[in-house]
Amino acid sequence: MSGSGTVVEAEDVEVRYHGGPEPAVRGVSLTLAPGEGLLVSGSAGSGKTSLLRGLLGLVEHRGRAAVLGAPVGDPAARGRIGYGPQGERFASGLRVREAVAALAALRPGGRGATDDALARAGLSYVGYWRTSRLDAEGSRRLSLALAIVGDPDLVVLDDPWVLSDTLREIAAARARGAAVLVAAQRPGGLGPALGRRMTLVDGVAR
Amino acid sequence: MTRLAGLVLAQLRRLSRRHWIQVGVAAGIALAVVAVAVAATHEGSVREDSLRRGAAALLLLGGLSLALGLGSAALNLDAQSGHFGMLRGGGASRPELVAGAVASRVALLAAVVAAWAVVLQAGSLVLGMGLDGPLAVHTLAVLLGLLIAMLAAAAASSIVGPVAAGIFGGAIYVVAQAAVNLKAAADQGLIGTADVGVRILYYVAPRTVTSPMIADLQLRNEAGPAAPRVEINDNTVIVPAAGWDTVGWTIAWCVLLGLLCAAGLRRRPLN
Repeated sequence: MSGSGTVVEAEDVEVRYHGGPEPAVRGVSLTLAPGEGLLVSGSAGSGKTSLLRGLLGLVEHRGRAAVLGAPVGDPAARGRIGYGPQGERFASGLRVREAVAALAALRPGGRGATDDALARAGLSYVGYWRTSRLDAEGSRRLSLALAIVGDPDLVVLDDPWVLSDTLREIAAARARGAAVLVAAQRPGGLGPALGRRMTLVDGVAR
Repeated sequence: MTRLAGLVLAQLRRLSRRHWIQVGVAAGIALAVVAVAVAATHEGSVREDSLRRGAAALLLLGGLSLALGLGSAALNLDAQSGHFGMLRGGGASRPELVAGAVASRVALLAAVVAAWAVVLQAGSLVLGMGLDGPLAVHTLAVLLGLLIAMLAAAAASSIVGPVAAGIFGGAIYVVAQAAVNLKAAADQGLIGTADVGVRILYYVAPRTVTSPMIADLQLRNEAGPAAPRVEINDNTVIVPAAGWDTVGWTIAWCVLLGLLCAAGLRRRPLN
């Protein structure tokens, strides 16, 4: 179903959580080619994170969606997607370096990329800290490191901070031909870095 | 290192840093030392019974607490906290997530029980009784029962919260123990009209594995809290040591519960 060279292709996607009366996302269509960026913005609860989770296979979706030429969740695309989650507890119990290394081990050619990702995310000096010691900015930097380790073909960032490192990595990923998908409530300078923008209101693209 | 080995190792690191597990391991070792010290106050066969009674109580009660604690939070908390989402979004499949979570807990439970057993065996050596073979066999038998409880709790944890999952795991262990005790009672003709129901339960439900050591202690009413004497209508139920068929059945149930863990997480939303 995926067009040749399309990294993300979604058509009329709906995401509904178990027991939810209304879908968190409905009728959303988007395409993302290699080297392209897309900013998904919207207020809290508008469905930005749900859309990303649906495209990553974290929650079930309806509608047609393919990533890297394969249906969502297909093993063919596994390991070619970099995901930087929102929040601060996603790597609880691990040291910073261990969290990045765990993701590097899941990516083809990712071994040995841990130190590089830590340096690019500005975390080299706290590599042996427990992730619980990181402040809010540190958690966002860790999320960035998880997304870029091993230089995946699709970089997905949920609620990143607009740091110079973030903007540089978005530009670098696009320059090497990777697609970048970002969800942010307060985009700041992310819009120009990504080029394209989609706004969600109550789960619907406007 | 394979992908799965990496996931298991990361999970083991996270688990080994949890304070309640560290406290539990240390408390178990301390209680094992206490069991040895108590046995040292006796002589001859009474000393041997004392050490085995203390060991059986520690392995069952301490092990069950640890198993239920590990199993009850195997999948639910990581699915909510974003940890599974981080790994799934980063390239791990859902079966790999389950395998990593379950295998790391199985390894940790086995390692902790082994650590307690080493202290008990060292105590047996120090007390001049040599290495205790029957106690080693009992340790393995208890471990199988603990795995049933932990995996049942883990399977439930894919659907419900930690408290409910822990209660479910404990209930499954009670059912497994009851199936063995009731079958023994039925074989002695103590059940009467419920015979058929008991046999159906025995051939369907999971079972705990009764070791020769605990069967002997229970028969002599020396097993303590690990295996108090079972009585039905004032008749003592003699629970025999389990055969290899029960060992195989218990392992099969462990595999089944592991598959249920995977099934439970198959469609669960991950944060």
